[in-house]
This record gives sequence, structure tokens and C-alpha cells, in this order.
Amino acid sequence: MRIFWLGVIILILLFLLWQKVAPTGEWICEQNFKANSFNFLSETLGGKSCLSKVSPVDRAISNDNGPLIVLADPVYFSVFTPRPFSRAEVTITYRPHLSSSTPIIEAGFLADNKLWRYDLKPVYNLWLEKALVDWTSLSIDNLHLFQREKKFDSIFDFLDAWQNNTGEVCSSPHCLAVYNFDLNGFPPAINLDLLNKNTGSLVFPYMLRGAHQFYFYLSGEELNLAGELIDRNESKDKDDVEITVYHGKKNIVSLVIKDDGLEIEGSGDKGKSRPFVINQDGLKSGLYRFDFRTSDDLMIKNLSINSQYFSALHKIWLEGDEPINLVSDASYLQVKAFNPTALQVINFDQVELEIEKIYSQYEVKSKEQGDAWHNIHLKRGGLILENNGVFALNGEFILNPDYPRLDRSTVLTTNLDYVLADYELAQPLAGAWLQSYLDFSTVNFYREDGNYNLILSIPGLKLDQAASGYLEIKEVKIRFYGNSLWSKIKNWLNL
Amino acid sequence: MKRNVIFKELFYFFSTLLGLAFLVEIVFPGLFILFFNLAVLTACWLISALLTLLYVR
Repeated sequence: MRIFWLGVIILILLFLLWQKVAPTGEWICEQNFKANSFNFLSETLGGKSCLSKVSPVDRAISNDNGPLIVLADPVYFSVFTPRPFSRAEVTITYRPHLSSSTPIIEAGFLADNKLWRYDLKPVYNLWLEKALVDWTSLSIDNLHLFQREKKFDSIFDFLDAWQNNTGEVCSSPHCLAVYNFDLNGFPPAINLDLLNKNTGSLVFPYMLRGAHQFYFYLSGEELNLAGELIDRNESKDKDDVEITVYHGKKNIVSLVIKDDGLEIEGSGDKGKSRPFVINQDGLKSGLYRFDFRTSDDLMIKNLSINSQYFSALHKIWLEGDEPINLVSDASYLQVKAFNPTALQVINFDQVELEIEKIYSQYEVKSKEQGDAWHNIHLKRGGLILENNGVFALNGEFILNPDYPRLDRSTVLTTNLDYVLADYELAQPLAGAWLQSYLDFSTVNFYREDGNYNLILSIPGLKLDQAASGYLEIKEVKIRFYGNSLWSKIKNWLNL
Repeated sequence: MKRNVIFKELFYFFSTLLGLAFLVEIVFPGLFILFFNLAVLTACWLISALLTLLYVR
């Protein structure tokens, strides 16, 4: 008897070690939300699912025997894996009930926990699946080109004309919208020759809080970037800072500033300002990106740079009691407050929006859809402003080299002549279900306590707007790939 | 086999399994509870402990 149960314990131990090592280099995490029969063994005696329950719980309805119904954007899952893997194939089976105000479903993993950046891939895009049927379309594998009026006979002709900037592609600015397309090697959406070469310098007059990304343009060969860091000491974590400057995908300068640790974290005592300086010469004139990676506990003051073309990408969080004036090239604005002192009425292109609750996301649209930039006026700081464009101090020096993205803010106006997308069409299944397949390189993805963080995003889907629709999810299957035990042994032995 | 021996051995088995569970969860968090329901195992251990107390002298 004793030998028998000791044998069982040893078998369980060996089974757990096998699972931990995953010697084949594969690990499958599967969750069927619409399982038809109740399996006593797995439901009662078995452990928890590798895919966590959806959060926040109020954004989804989870029935025992029905699909998961997603009612608001975004929802998150934790995906447990016994060890890190280098690749993940995600298969989602779903049934969209969405409208033109919620045309996109995307899924992805948390790639950077400081910038809170997710690597998102398309699941479903209503524009590409249905809305562009009147346009002439060309496809090679997953690459699709839609033309309002047929001008190019092949995608290669189009890419060639675009890459070589022959002027054939666009007669007006922003005539091309892209979706999930790698723009590396292609010209930016703006003509850099038209920028003012005497770019001067700029001292950002407002205090920034948390992680930010900026585009800037250098006309000379030298970069002078400086500022002061202030630790709010509201959270208990250390607040290190990483500042990185990129030219295209190339890392030009990196600076890591560790927390000085002079004050007690979590005490609420503001730290002394700590200056930082980056001086780099021998650079080429052109477009650059500056990433400021830190926690929300850190502020940056008196940020100065030797360029007036300086625009915050997608998000800006300003602090301070003084009035704030900004511009943005996107025709909508999403606003969120975390502190009651930040609640106020904001003005976006003469449209007023009252921010009356903290932690709620508000959205305002401009009436001037065609304008190159839109004015934002805040009575004071404390609000997080977000959209799919950039934020700058004034319209003259706004800088956005990105092409318009085919998303929920897209208006298929006459300005738009082409749409280029790297997109795998959803596979139709019986019962109007659709299946989409996503492939991720998970090498640098953030993993905490053995869990990857998976997001499912349907921008524009809100609980209080029934007309925006909902999404049914039948199944999520994630197949992870990594080095097998055999390949690791071969590496160790240099075979 | 005598009843008291079975209950005693069951108690030893579940005690060892729970010990293994805590050890695995400390070293590899999340791995044991992925495959086994810890609440069910603890209930089994409690039942075996009660049976041992009742029937084993």
C-alpha cells in the first residue's frame, strides 16, 4: 500500500516537472467558453484554467455554458505558462455584433509594463472585411491594397512608387491610410523638406507626468535634451527612469537614471528636482523619437530640446495649476482624471466637455473634422489626454510622421485614396462564428508570476452605449513555442 | 486489508501530497494549482484525518 501511494506521489512529481520544463518546447493554453457538457473531473477535481477569468468583471458576462460576452473595452486575461516562450499563436473563435463606431477588434500581450504598451494584432477589422467592397482591391497573401479609383495594377507597383516617392501615390496629404503595416523603409507621411530648418529650441512650459513618447525633428547634427525629474513618492515602488532616443528603429542614445532613494517611497513627500542632460553630436538631420519610460509617480519639468518640432505621441499627462493650451492633429480626444482636483470643463475646438468623475473615460469629437490641428484648452493639469494622433504646443510645429491608421476614427472621405493593410481575413465557421489567427514573438514580453498579460481591445465599445454592440467569444487557444529540451542540451554541448 | 491501515495510509498520502503542493507552489508558483484543485485535496486530507482519528488507535 505504502509503495503504491509513494509511487503515485513520485509520478505526480515527475508529471509536474515535465510540465515545468515543457521539454517538447510547446505549451497549449485553451479555454472553451461554450463547453456543452459539464466534465466532473476537470471542473471539480482539476485545477484552475491557464487562462484567468476576464477582468474587469463588469465589462463582460461570463455564463457557465455560454460564450463570453464582452460589453466594453478593453478586457484583460492572465495567461499562465510554466516557463517563458519565444512565440505564441493565438486562435480566437468569436461572433462580432459591432457597429461602424466599433469596427476593430484587436488582441495582444503586454510588451512594456513601464510604458504600459501592448503589442496588438488585428482580430477583426470591419472596414477591411466589409466596408471597402466598393473599392478596387489587390491582395498578396495577407497584404491588401484598396484603391478608391484603380491606378496601380499590382501591389508591388504601388509599393515601388511609394517607397521611391515618385509622387504618383498621393496628390494630397494623408491620402493613404494603413493598418498593421510595417512602415520601416517607407517615407514618412510628411514631407521633411517642407519643415522649417531653423528649428530653434523649445522649453516645454508644462510639467509632464509618467511615461511619454515624443517625435522631434533635428535640423542640425547635435541633440541637446535636458530636464528635471521630480519624484511624487506616492507609490511604494522605486521610480527609475529610462530615456531612449531612436532614429527609425535604431537606438541612438540611452540614459538610465535610478531612483535617488532620498525620500521614503509612499510618503507623499515630493523629492527634490534632479536635472538630467543628454548631449549627442554627429547625428543626421531628420526625424527622431524620444521615449521616456518611467512610472506614473515621476514628473518631468522644464523639458528642453533644440527643436521646436516636438510632439507627444498618442498620450500626454500634464500636471500643474496653470491653464494649459495644446493642439492635436486627431479630431477626437479621450480624457481621464485620476484625482478629484483635476475635474473640470475642458474645451476642444470650442466644444465643451465636463469631466465630472474620476477613473471614467470621456470622449469629445471636434466639429471641424478636416482641420490640420485642433485646439485643446484645460483650466489646469491633472488630466490624461489620449487619441490616435499627436499633441504639440502649437499647430505650426506639430509633427506627426505616421500615416492615418484605419481605425474607428477613419472617415472614408474623398481625401483618402488608398488603404494598405497587412491583415488576415477572418475564417468563417458554422453558426456565423469567425476564427482569427494571430502570431506573436513573445521574447521580450512582460511576464509576472508566470503569467503573460493578454488584452482584448474593441476601441469605442462602452457599457453605457448599447448601440456600440458586443462581442461573443467561444474559444481562445494559445499555443506557445520555445526551445525544446533537446535543442537546449545541444546548445550546452555545442553540438 | 484492515480498515485502520487504509485510513492511516490515506492520511499519509494526502499529507504528503499537500506537502508536495506547498513545496511546488513555493518553488514554481501557479504550477500545482493549474492541475489540481487544492480545496478538494484539502477536503480529502481533512476527511482522512478525521477517519484516522476515529478508527486508528
